[in-house]
Amino acid sequence: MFGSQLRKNGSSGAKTPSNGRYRNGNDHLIELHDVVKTYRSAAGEFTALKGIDLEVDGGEFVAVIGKSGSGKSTLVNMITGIDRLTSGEILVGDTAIQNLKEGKLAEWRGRNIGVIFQFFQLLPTLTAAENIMLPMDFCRMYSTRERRERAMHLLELVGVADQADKLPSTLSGGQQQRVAIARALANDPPILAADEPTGNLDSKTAESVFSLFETLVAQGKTILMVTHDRDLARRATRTVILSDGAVIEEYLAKTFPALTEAQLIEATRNLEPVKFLPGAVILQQGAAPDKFFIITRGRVEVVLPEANGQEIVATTMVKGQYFGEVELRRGGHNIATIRADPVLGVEVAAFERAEFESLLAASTAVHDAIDRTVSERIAENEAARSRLERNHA
Amino acid sequence: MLSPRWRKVLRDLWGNKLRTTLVVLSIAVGIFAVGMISGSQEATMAALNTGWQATNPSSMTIYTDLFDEELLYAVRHLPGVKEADGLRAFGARFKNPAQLAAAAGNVPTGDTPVNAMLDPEKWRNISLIAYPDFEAIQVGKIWPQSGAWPPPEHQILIERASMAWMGVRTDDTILVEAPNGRQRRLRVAGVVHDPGQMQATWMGQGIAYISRDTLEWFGASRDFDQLHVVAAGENLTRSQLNQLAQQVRSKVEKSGRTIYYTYIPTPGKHPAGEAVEPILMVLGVLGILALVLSGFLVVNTMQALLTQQVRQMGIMKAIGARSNQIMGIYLGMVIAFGVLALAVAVPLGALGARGFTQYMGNLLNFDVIGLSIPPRVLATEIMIGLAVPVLAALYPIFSAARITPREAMSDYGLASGARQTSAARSSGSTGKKPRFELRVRLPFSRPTLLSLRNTFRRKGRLALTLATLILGGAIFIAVFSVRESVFKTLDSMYDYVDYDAIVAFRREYRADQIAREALKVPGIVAAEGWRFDSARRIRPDGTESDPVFMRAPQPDSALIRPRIAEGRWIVPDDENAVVINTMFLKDEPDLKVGSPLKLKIAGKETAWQVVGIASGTPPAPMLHVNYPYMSRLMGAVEQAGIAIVVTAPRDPASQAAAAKALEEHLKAVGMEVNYRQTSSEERTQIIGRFEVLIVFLLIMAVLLAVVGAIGLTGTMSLNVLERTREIGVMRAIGASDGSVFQIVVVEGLLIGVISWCFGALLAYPLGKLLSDAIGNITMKTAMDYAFSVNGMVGWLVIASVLAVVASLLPARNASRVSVRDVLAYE
Repeated sequence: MFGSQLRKNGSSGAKTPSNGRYRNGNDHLIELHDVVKTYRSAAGEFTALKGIDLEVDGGEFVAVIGKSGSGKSTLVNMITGIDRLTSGEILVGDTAIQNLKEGKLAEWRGRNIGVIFQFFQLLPTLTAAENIMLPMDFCRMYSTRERRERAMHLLELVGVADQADKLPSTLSGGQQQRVAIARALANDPPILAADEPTGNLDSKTAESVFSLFETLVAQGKTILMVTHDRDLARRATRTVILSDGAVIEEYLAKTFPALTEAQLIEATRNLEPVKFLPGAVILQQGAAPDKFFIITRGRVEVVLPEANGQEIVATTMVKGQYFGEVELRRGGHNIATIRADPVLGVEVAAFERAEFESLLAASTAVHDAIDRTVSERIAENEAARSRLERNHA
Repeated sequence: MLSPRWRKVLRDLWGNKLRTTLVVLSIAVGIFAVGMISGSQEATMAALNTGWQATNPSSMTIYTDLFDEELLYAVRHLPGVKEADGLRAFGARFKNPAQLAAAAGNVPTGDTPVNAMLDPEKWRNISLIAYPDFEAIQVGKIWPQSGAWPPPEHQILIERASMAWMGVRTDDTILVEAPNGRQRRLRVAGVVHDPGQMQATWMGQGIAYISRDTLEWFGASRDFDQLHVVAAGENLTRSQLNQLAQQVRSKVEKSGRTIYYTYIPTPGKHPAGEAVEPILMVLGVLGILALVLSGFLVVNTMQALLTQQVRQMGIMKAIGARSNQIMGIYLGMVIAFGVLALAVAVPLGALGARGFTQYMGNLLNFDVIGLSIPPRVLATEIMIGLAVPVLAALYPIFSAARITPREAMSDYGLASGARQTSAARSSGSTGKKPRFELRVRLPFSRPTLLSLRNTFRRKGRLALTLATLILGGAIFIAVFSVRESVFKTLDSMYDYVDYDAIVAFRREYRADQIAREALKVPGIVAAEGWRFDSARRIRPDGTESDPVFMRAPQPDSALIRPRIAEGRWIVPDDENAVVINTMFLKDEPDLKVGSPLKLKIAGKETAWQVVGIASGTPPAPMLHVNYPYMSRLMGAVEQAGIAIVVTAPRDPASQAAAAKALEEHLKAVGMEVNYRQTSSEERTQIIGRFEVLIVFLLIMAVLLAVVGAIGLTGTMSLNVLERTREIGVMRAIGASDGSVFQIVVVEGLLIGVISWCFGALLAYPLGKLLSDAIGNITMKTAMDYAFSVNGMVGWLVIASVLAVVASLLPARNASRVSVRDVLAYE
């Protein structure tokens, strides 16, 4: 039905170099395909990540949230190459990091990802400035003279230039974390990965660090931040929710807050991520409905026909909103045409009818909420049609 | 400008001074041991041989009947003879001024040398040497050190290495008694240096020089009795020298004189060199052991140091450091440790080498030249200082630099047990299943149990620490076992010939007269007259052996208890029967029971037959023959030159008193006594020679113990450091300072005691090996082995004290850990 306008996301396996924006065929700055990480310990085997698929675009500020032990840090460690995956594929820019040997990986990381830790991890015997100069030294970035100048510039950027020649032990937690951020920026990497960067800071300091992150994102950096602070996460441009080693679709969780984590994981597993190019029709008025959609990225237009055969955009829906439920619940044909935004296009999470119905069956609250929405949307649709008819008359 | 990574190296070194000190000391101990021993080896042998060569040493010394300048002239003109000198040396005895004063009733006071505080009646041996012209000595030169030169008439010059033992100073007067009984008072006119003479303590006699006029004053002939010959040509072999010696001997024998003995030293080497080299070699082996232990220590310390740095390695990798950069940083740090250790150990090793060489120089009478470190020794030290730590650290650095940053950064905290295996790492695992579980309920308090279990947590580190302590302990106990073996060997030697005193006469007397007169002396309960002669074996190929003592005890003697290894002992009717001992057999291995044996005794060749082989003791090659036959053979029927007596009681004082009374009695009845000696005195003298070696061995053992203690301190410090969080948690749940202190000290003590158990076990074979080696070096036979229980108990005390002392500082640090520290300790 959608022909070449549709690209199904989340497929694993290497893509042909010509397919995407990057050398390995990936369209996104960061792509994870079916990433599994298993640890073996005295207590037995433990799978921390269970087949993660994820895409992050340049300039995004992604908060990775989840309960303790959900695999947040492991996920970020996989992306930074701090830890090795058991199976799957991670593409960052032009690099398939699972193919890099340890030495190359370290150098690549030094140049491309700035890592920030919860406990700062500054080398105790080096001053703040020297800690920042160290990655430049390792990666042979900038001339020897420039390194000091850049370190001072970065310290100024993070607001602790006056602490340049002090050892970490003499700095406060907030100052140490600022130095650690400056160190992460040392080689001007496009990506910053921060594991609980505010977890060891008081709320005021945490706020200032977070503001710094927002500034950096505004300057074009991509930030992946592990946090368990949902308030901070809300301020990120995107949230990746992890539960028991699996990613929960963010907007699914927002749409159905009444679902348990297990139900959300199951539902995430059943959804089909679909990408529509700008202007592509998703639902055609009068056609038989077969799917339920949640918008995960971009926008859709709800289009109604006018008597003169023209179409009118009755409303637009943005990420987090859903459509297709009216027809699935009420029966009959689509009451409106829904198409991807002509500029942005749209990405949706699609559920087959049976999966949608099992979602409703799983929770009375979800069932009631959907039915309420159905009633409201029918009312809105009828009101819109009346307006159109009046206008036409 | 120094890059941040090298600044990190410098600050890591400077920032943790205790750790840096421990690592540097670990490396330095090995360098010091090697530097001291190889430095002293080189310096001793070089100085010994240089000094010896400067004397123009004789290629051979021939002991003959008296001869004159005419024969000397003839020998000098023999083909193959470069130079020849004649001298006269005769054994006398002396009393020093303090003895003379004490005999006169004046008790010596002030700074009188200790050796002078002797029995005023006690004569001691002195060898008087007379050259025809002291200014023109060509062979075996001697040099004036102070005072008069050459020896003025009726005065004496003393060899410098005899001064202290003799208890004399320049201008003193000593009383000398010649073998003919003539006593003369001689003024000590000066001191000379004769590099061919050793310490008087070792030789048991003083060395002095007199003019031929003084010789005549004693009633002796001006003629010579030793011929010192230098062979013409360079790098002559022993067989070439033997050939020349044969020519010289023929010349002397053709003049109607008897040759008693020919001594041909190893060409180009000091006579003591052959004895010193093996001792230096044993010390060298111990030095290498110290180096190996130091290597263990370095491996241990490096591994621990790198374990501490693993997190930082992880951080550096996380911010872009490649594995080879990390390896570069830590190898740089290791090399810096090596350089620091060299800076400490090279001067100390040189000082030690100088001290040791000076001691040897004093003992062997050579001058130590300069303080420079021989280039070869310095090169060895530098190689050890850099290579040992680098080799020790290479594997830990390599494996630590290769782990992923996550592994590196998670390797801390409560669960920091042994590091993962590479297989586990590659599969991404975080640990491994314990091989066993502690199910046994031990009757100890919880803190003690914790110590017990902590001890075995870092098994690799424990093994290396134990190895160091075990070897140190085993060597310590083994050295004591060598000492006890010396005593045991001497015991069996005196058990073999069971006497308390021996008196030698200037001429022979009837054996029964000797025994009868001796038994008249109160305190003497048994006495016999024996013969002692010297012989050389004439081998089937015509060559002659070194001289060997022939002992002819009374056939029914109760004072000799031989241990027969093969064949039989002498019986009263034996004629040409000879019992050789195993040490003679070692020199003459073709002999067996029943072999014919041709002996040259007093210049005459005689035929014998080997009837038995006596085992090991006494510690010299010895032949036993039947007294009646021997006395007939020597043309002195029933004559004997030696009185062997047994005293009652048998303690040293009673022995000395009885021996003195015996000499007085014998003199009173007109018998001419040459010298007397008690078995205790002889024993002390022999033990004295071993003590020197034992002291050196003990120095090495102490050095090894120090290595062990440093190792233990390091291990305990690192254990405490690694468990900071754990200790903090214990503090949080109520552990007092005392409990934490106790946990650490008990762990250290436990390591000490475990090391003692294994060390004691290892000490038995090691002691046997060492005692056999030293026996073979010094006595040409293995000693009777005695394991030292005292050494074992002593080491238990030392190991326990060392363990506790080594744990005190780490324990104090542990007890100072606060809960707040731990919370800040990420």
